[in-house]
Amino acid sequence: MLVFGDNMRGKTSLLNALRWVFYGKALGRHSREIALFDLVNSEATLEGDWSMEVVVTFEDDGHRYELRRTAAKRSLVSTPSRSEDLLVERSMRKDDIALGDHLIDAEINRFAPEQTSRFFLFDGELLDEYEQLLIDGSDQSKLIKEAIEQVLGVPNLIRGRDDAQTILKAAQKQQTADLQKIGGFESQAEKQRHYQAQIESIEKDIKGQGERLRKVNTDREELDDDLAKVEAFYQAKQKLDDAASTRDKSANRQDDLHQVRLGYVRDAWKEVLRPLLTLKREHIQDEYSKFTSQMLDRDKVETKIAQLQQAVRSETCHACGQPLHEKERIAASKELGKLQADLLGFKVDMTLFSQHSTDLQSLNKLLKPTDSRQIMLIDNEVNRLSVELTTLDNQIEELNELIKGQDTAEISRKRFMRDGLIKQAAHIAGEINSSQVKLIGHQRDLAVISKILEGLPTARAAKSSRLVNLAAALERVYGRSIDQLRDDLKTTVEMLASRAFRKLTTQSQYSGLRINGNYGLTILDERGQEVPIRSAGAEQIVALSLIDGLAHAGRSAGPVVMDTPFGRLDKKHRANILAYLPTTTTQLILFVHEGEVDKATDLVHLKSRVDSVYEIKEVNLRHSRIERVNQ
Amino acid sequence: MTDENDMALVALLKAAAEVEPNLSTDLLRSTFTIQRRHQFDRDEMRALSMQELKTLLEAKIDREDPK
Amino acid sequence: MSDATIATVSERTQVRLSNKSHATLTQMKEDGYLAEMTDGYRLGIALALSMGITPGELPAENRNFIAVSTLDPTGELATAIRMLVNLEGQGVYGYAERLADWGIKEMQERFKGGFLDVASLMSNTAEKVS
Repeated sequence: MLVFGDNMRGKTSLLNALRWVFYGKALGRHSREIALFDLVNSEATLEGDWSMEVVVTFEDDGHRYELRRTAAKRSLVSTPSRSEDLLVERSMRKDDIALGDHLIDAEINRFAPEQTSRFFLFDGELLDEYEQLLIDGSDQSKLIKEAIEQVLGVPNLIRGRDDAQTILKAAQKQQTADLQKIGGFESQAEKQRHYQAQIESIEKDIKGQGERLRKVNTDREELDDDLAKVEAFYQAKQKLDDAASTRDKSANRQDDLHQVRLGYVRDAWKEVLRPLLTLKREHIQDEYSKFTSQMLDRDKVETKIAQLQQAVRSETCHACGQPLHEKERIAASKELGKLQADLLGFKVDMTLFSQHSTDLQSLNKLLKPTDSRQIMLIDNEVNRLSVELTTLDNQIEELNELIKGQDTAEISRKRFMRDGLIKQAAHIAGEINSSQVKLIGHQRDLAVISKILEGLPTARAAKSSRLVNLAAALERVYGRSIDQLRDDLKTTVEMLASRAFRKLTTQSQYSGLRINGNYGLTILDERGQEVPIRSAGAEQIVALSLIDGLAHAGRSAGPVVMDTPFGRLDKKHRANILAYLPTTTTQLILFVHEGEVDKATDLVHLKSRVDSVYEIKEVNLRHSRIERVNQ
Repeated sequence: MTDENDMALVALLKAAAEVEPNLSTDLLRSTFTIQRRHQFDRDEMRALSMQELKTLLEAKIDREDPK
Repeated sequence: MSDATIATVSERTQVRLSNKSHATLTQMKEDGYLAEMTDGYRLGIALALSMGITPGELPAENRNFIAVSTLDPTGELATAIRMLVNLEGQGVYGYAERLADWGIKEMQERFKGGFLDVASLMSNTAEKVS
């Protein structure tokens, strides 16, 4: 059976209607129960109509059933304002014979027990929750694990063990009382009584601690829900605070740079003139070099003149000290005359030379490097900061707009409280652990005494002692069987889920699935290696494989109702699912929207297997109607 | 779900063979039947299975009474 | 210029500024572009020198601005002017005040009362020379 409906038309309400008629409950997000008051159609209540009715007819094992559940305003209530103002009634007819109310639950449990309902009243959201199974220890994973084990019979063994334990404790008490009446066992009986009292006290403590823990976890989950709704605002507030802090820093830096810049502007006039002054210095340097060169040359000439004058006067060579011949003396005189004439040509303006020297000194002083050259760098940095400040201001404005009206202080307070509750839960869990350790210790001590008494003929004969032995044996067997069953289940579920997976997946190189302690499954590639990263679509296929594996392992096939199971799957996977699933159930009812199943193309393949097609049509926002569609 | 393919019962019998081989198989099956019958009882009805189990065990002890 | 020539020119002890340029410097300081108005005065001198202009006389509406000893305590400003300009017997500070007035008007023209882009003044002269 296919039921088409766009989003927000009421597909999930339809699933909840089925859940409500069977179990009196409707579930919202995260499997939270929706209050009865919130289930009644709001449009109807505006017209004073507070009645609600769901009727379902079905067949099982050759019998015809009609199950009806109604809710209506209590007679003394004029306008209901809470769930308690509504009265719920139910009735069931089996083969047209009305069943007593006390028999209805037992009848339902034969084919659709509530504890396993999440696997046949199947909400697409379950597929999202399934990913939690891969996270050990999360609350959600525990719930799903319990649900899976429920399907597979594990609770039967757990309760068998618990019942045996209860009987054992009562029998041990009776044994203590009996032994006191038999001479010689007073001290053993006294010890037994002491340990039994201790055990009772600790069990009471554990129960109380368990209740406290449940309360703390419930409070924490409520806060988590509140915080999830406002998480976006909290994050925005964090961003806003960060942005404001960065803005302040940038603004301060800009102010600091501005002050530094003002200091540098003082000497900036030198930098403005630097190029011209540098050029001036080069010119003066050239002139100065010319002067010094000229002066050197003159010095050389003067030295030569002095040497020649000496030579002519003394008639001796100034170089070697030998006497000069007449010819040499005439030559020397001629050269002397020439040099003396040259000397007259050397005119060095010493005043100018001195001025150049002074100017060079002044210019070197003027041209000493200043910090003002950094003004450009500062201006660039200030500009960059301006851009940054504008960006931050815009960001701050947007964030302020976003969190307008939100009490962010309240959000912070709730976060703080939530964190406190997490710590408290951990502390209580620690207390429970300690209590359990003590409990086990006392139970062992008690078992030792029982063992001693077991060996004594007189004690053994007492009926209570025999009951103690039998109950203890039963407790041991059931206790061991729980682990045995879990081991067996893993192997079986892994095999069955792998088989389903190979039929559903489009990837031929995947060889199967491997199961973990939480019934989480990982995909194996052709080499048997785990595929570490999975798409959301792959998660859905794995979840569907698990469910199919469970259906074959634990319970006989029955009808399955699935609400939007195809959310993240591509066409090929959808086709595989539509081909395979109907083969694993006696009846498959799918709630889908046209994005998931194309009426034109997908239905063609299913035609032979689809008995009826319905469509949820919108009347208005709060009112939809289901119509059968001609195929 | 028949006894033969009820994995829980199979596990129970396996465990008994391992830890309490002298425990009667018939008794075990009877205790398991009680649990299966009551497996979907609501919490407030939980004591019923324990009562039935106690009755079963006491009856067995009475039958085996050496007196 | 010889020492004797220098000795015969009587130097100003105060430099002046046109009222308009005074208003410009006041605004620049108020806008936070100058720590002191004197910094702007020196920049004006440097700008005018770097552009090689021959400044006209100071407008009639002018006022005393600052003591020379405050404007140029180390004499570097006077040295720079003398290096780059042939004063031909003019007093250096008398020339300086005309340069300053011209330079400040030029800065007002360029930046129109907005951001005093000192870096551009520095890089412009470098480009000119290269």
